[in-house]
This record gives sequence, structure tokens and C-alpha cells, in this order.
Amino acid sequence: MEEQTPFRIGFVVLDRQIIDGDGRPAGKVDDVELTWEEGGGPPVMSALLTDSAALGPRISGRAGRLWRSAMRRLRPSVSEPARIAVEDVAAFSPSTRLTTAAPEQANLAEAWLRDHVIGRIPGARRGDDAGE
Amino acid sequence: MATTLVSDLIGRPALDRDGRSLGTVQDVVVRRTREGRYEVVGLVVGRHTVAGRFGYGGTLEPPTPWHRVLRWMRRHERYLAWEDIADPADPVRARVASTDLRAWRGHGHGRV
Amino acid sequence: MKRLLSFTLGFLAAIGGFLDVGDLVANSVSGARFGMSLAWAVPVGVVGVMLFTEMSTRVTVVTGRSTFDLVRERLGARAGLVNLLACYLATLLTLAANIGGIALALELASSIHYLLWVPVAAFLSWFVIWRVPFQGMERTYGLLGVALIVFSVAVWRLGPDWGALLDSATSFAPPPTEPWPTWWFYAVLVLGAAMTPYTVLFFSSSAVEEGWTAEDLREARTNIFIGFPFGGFLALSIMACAAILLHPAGVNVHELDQVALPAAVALGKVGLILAVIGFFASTFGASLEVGLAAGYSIAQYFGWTWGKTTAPVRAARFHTVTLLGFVAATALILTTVDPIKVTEVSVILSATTLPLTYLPVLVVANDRGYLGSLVNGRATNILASLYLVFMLALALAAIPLLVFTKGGQ
Repeated sequence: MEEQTPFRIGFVVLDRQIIDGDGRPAGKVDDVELTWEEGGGPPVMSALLTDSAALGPRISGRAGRLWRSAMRRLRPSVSEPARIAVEDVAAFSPSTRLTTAAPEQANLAEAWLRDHVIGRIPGARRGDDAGE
Repeated sequence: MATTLVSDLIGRPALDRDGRSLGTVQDVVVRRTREGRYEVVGLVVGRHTVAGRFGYGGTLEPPTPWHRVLRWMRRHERYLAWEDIADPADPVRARVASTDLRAWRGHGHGRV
Repeated sequence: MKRLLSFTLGFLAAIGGFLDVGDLVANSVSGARFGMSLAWAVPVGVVGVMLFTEMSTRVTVVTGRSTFDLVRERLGARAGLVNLLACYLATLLTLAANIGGIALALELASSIHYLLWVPVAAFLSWFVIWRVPFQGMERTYGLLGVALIVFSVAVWRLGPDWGALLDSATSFAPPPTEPWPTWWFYAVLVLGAAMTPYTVLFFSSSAVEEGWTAEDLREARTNIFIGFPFGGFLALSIMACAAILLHPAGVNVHELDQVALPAAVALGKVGLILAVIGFFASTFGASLEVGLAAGYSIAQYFGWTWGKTTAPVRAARFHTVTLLGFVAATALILTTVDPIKVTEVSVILSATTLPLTYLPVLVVANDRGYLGSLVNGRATNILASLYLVFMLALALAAIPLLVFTKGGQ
């Protein structure tokens, strides 16, 4: 693989739409994890974080702290944000395209609402293109 | 292996060799290496990145009436190469003087 | 023939998309109080909304990216969230105003008190979003909304003194008895009603939903450049009706039936029926668009699956948020607040939030990395920049004027 021109994480990676391997939206890149490898040298980008647990600290200050405590109360079992390894990313811009499925955790809220709210309303299984 | 979040790094105050303020960390610049890793090559520091955040300095050329305003808005943005950083902790300390830093002339989109 | 049909229908949808309860109220109230002296605000507003919608549709069609996706990308998580909350609040109030508008139109038709119609109106709108296909939905209310042309016919039937109307329209000053701040307040109201952010959000998001490609861009532009001015023409007709009939009589409009009055006077029962059909169609269409726009904005910020065309089970979060929007807006109107006042406040609030979505779209419309050769041209940029400054001035002036004039009293 050839070396590429440098780019800015804040502009090119953060806050981009994540599209999973099946072409479905899977949240936003809410934060990026850097890792210092042993033996010195500059850090490398190791993972993308998504989910409200990663968004909270971004909205820093008072509002961010409130968000974090609210999130912990809502879902005490899940405190860690969903993590996507950088190796699974095919492209960062204009959207972050993954080669794999999105992490299960990023879809918890969607699945819960589907099973407990939306799925129970008659007609929820029909789209505009009839026959689905 | 220690990890840091980019959101944690962004917003840290940055000081030059003589303790003069360079503003805060506005962005982290990375490059894809031959091995396919994304290595941090430097930081963008400055007082704010309103204009940079919009994408000026990348593929975005300022529209006709706005050239001067945007150049003026970005006048304090500086590029701090990773090898010029003495300590990336809070606050970030540079090895060089603020006058030795060049303006950030950013690069565009990271299509892999 | 098929092309012609599709063009006509798209253009109808654009008219329907332009007019809502805000336009009905703002134009009629201003006509009754200030004659035609605020007529200039309609074309100024129409050009603004055409520019904005064209840019955002072009960006969306070429990049496949939706408006709030770009808002978050360019403004970041924090400023993007502040932006989202402000716009969502304005959108929710607009939704409440339009649900109130549907209920008032149904009251006009049935003489049953509007509060009883509010839950019906809200449920019907939500149900159409839930079950009726996109194009059918857009075209039906677009077609019915053309009934508002009754106001243009009414202007002509009322046989006004055209010279006096033109004088009033070119005066750029309030009538001698009215103060300047109030005149400016209503100017912001007419402008804000024409340039609603939800129209743009809906138009560009529906471009994604209907899978438009760069080839469809020409058709979209035609719809915008013909449909919106036609909507503006209808808005001007409503203003002129009020200026001809209500202004000399000293009537102050605070009910929807007063908006319809000139049509009834000029054309009798038929006029009234057409006006009521037009009111119903435009407010109903708007409540669908606004309700969807509220859901779109949140889903696009957080990166969820969104869309009316996909089965609801596949976009559960989007549909939940949309449903909650309808519940909140209905609850607001059921508190018996005056729907006309809610309308005015919602228009002022959307004028305040307008630059928040306009600026990111303008920025991206200049990005060659995204749009290639389809970036804004020089002339578009100069005009769009003038409008940016203008919209910022409007946004800053809107709330102080609302407070200072006590809502235009």
C-alpha cells in the first residue's frame, strides 16, 4: 500500500456517518482512539468509537457530564462505547465505510424500540415498495 | 499499551519552548503508512478552528466574496509536527519556539 | 406525456411544500394591517428559499448526504447538537402550528370546535406518514393546495384600484398610522414564513428517499424554480385580498376564517369552500413535511437509519422520534394556546434558526471534493452570500422585535 497525504482526524474522521458492510447506517464516529505502541514513536489510530457513551464526553462541560450520568442511569450494564477496529474501515470520507457488520452494541436502542414499540404498531413491516 | 481519545487531546492547551501559548489543540493530523497503519504526524494548534472546521484548507476553496475573511479567521492556526513535541500531556509542550512554526496549510480528504 | 405528467406533479408538490399555515397567517395579517407595503418581502423570501433549496438539493443529490449529516460533519458534535436542538424546537412549534391549522380548517368546514379536531388532525397526519406512499402523499396535497388560487381569482373579482395597490407595494414604509418596529416585525414574519428551514430539510431528504440522481437534478430545479414562485404568487394573492378588503375596513386578522373572508365575499360559497380546501391541503401537507423533517433532523445527526420509504421496523428509532414529535406538538396545541399565536412564534423562531442550517449547506455547496464541477458558480455565491448576511440580520432581529412589539401589537 502506498503512503498517502496526511489528513485531519477532526475533519475527516470525527462526526462522519458510519455505513456498515451491508450498506446500512450504523451511527456516527463519535470519538477516535489512539494507541501508543511499545517502543516509542508516535501514536497510531486504533479504533473508532460510536454510541451515546462516546458522544457524551465530546459534548464536554456541564451538559456533557449530565449526559454521561443520564446514560449510566439508563443503561448501567453498558458503560463502554461500541468499538470498531480501524482495520475494519474501508474509507473514512465522505462517509466511514466498514468492511464488516456494525458492532451489536451500536444497535441496542434500535432493536429495543423495534421489538417493543414500533414493531407492535400495525403496518410496521410494510415499506413504500410494497411486498416487503 | 496506553490509549488516548482524540476528544481528550483536542482542547488541551499548547505551549511553545519558552512557555508562550500556542492556543489549544484543534485537530490531530495522521498519515497512512506503508504498513497500512494510521500514524499521528502532528497537531493543529490555534485559538479556534471555525474556518478550518468548515473544511477550508482542504478541498474547499473559499467562495468569491469570502477569501479575505477566511484567511483572516485562520491566521493563528499553526502546524506542530509530532517530532517537535516534547510532551503530549496536558498541557502539550513543544520543543520549538512559536515563531518557528508554520501556518497550517491543511490537506483534504482521506480516501483510502 | 409521462415526463410532462411527472413534471406537473413535482411542481404541484413544490407549491404544496411552499405554503403552510405560517404563510396563510403572515400574509393575511400583514395585508390587513399594512396594505401591500410588505409585498416586497414575498419575492425576497421566495428567492431566498429557492437558493437554499436548490443548493441543498444539489448537495444531497450529488453526495447522497443529508442536511443534518452535513451540519454535524462541518460543525462538530457540540455546535451541531446546539444547532439540532434549536432547529428541532422551531420545527416542533411549526408542527404544532400546522396541526392547529388543520383543526381550524376542519372547524371552518364543520362548525365543530377546533380543539376536538386536533387529535384527529394529528393522528391523520401521522397515519399518512406511517402508511401512504411518498409520491402519492406529496402529490395529493400539492394538487389540493392549488385550490388556494381562489385568492388570486378573488383579487381580480374584487376589482381593486390597481394603481393604489401598486403605490402601496412600492412605498417601502408602513401606513402613516403604524409604527416602524411593528412593520419590521411583520416583514420578518412574511420573510420567515417564506423561508422555512423545514421546507429545505424535507425537500432534500425526500431527494434521498426517492433516490434522485444527478440526472434528476434538472427536474428538481425546474420544480423549485417554477413551483416556489407560484407558491409565492398565491401568498401575494392572500396578502392582496386582505389589503383590498380588510385593510380599509380596519379589520385585524386573528382567526383563520378572517383569512378566508375575502374569498367568500368575492366568490360566495364556492370561494369559501375552495379556500377551506386550500387551507386544509396546505396545512395538512405541511404537517406531514414538518413531522418528517423533525424526525429526519434527529436521525441524521445521530446517524440512524431514517426514511419514510423503508418499512418502519427497519428505522425504529426514526419512527419513534417522529411519533413523539406528533405527540408533543398535539399536547402543546391541546393546552388551548391560540394556534394563530403559536404560528407567529413558530415563524419567528424558524427565522432565528435559519442561518444555522443555511451556513453549512452554503459551505458544502462550495466544496469541490464533494461536488466536483457542480459547485456553486460565482453569481450564485455572491447572491447566496448576500442572503447569508440578510438571514443573519433577520435572525438577530427576530426575537428582539417579537419582544419589543409584544408580538406585533
